[in-house]
Amino acid sequence: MEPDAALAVQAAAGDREAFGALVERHQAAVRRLTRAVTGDAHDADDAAQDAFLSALDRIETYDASRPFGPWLMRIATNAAIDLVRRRTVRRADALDERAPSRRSSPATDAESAEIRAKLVAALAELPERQRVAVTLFDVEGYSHAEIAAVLEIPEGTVRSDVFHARRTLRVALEAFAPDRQMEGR
Amino acid sequence: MNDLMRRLLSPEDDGRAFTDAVLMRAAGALHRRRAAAEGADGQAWTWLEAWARPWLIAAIVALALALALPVGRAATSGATVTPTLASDLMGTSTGTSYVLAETLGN
Repeated sequence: MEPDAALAVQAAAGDREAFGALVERHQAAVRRLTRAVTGDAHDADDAAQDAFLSALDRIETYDASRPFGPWLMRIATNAAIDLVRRRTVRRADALDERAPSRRSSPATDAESAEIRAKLVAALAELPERQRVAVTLFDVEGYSHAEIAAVLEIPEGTVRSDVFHARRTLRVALEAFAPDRQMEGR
Repeated sequence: MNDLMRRLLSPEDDGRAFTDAVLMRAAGALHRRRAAAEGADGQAWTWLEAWARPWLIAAIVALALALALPVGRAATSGATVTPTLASDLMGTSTGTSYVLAETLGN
């Protein structure tokens, strides 16, 4: 598999295949992040597309000696926050438009939908930076230092953001998983 | 909770449609970048054509002159050898006496 840095160089020269490979490789993580920030599947994909176009636009600023992911995530975070601020009307139930649960039982489907709704609501209550921090930490597996670099904030602030975000989410979901260990790492 | 968040946030599709949409939107930018990259190469050739060719011709002429000059010098120096040798021989007193003696039968 060709390294991101090599693909970025080729994309900078207008190589469609190379840029497409970068998009394909990172689209899931970027879309998860933009979903966490926007709370809306459609807005999230718009923001994610904007992020990739913005990344192509400024690909010369990417330092090939550093990982591509955090650089892209910073752009995606800004794109998502910009989009959220541009939108005046937001669909509160957007994530409920997603595909149905993989579980078959109507009862568990209902519970799953309720959990999703709770989590969506809890995420929406978080400040944008906390949403990004907890998503990058818990979903994408970034370290505090990496998140600090992405968000350009001190590492201690990231730790605090992740802590508060997790506490909010835990409170929102504790009715559904009272015995589950939610502290994770 | 991590798994739940991941499931909640993960797109259900395989990303191909998303990638295609991004590539479609990026088509113009990618084309401009390709054109710029090719244009930069083209400009380099134009520059070479405009400047390097005269310099190349000048360099070839200079090289030809540099090669021709020693030959000319050698030719010139070859022409001067004979008179110098002749004059040296002629100018030698013993040689002249010997020739005169032989001629006169002494």
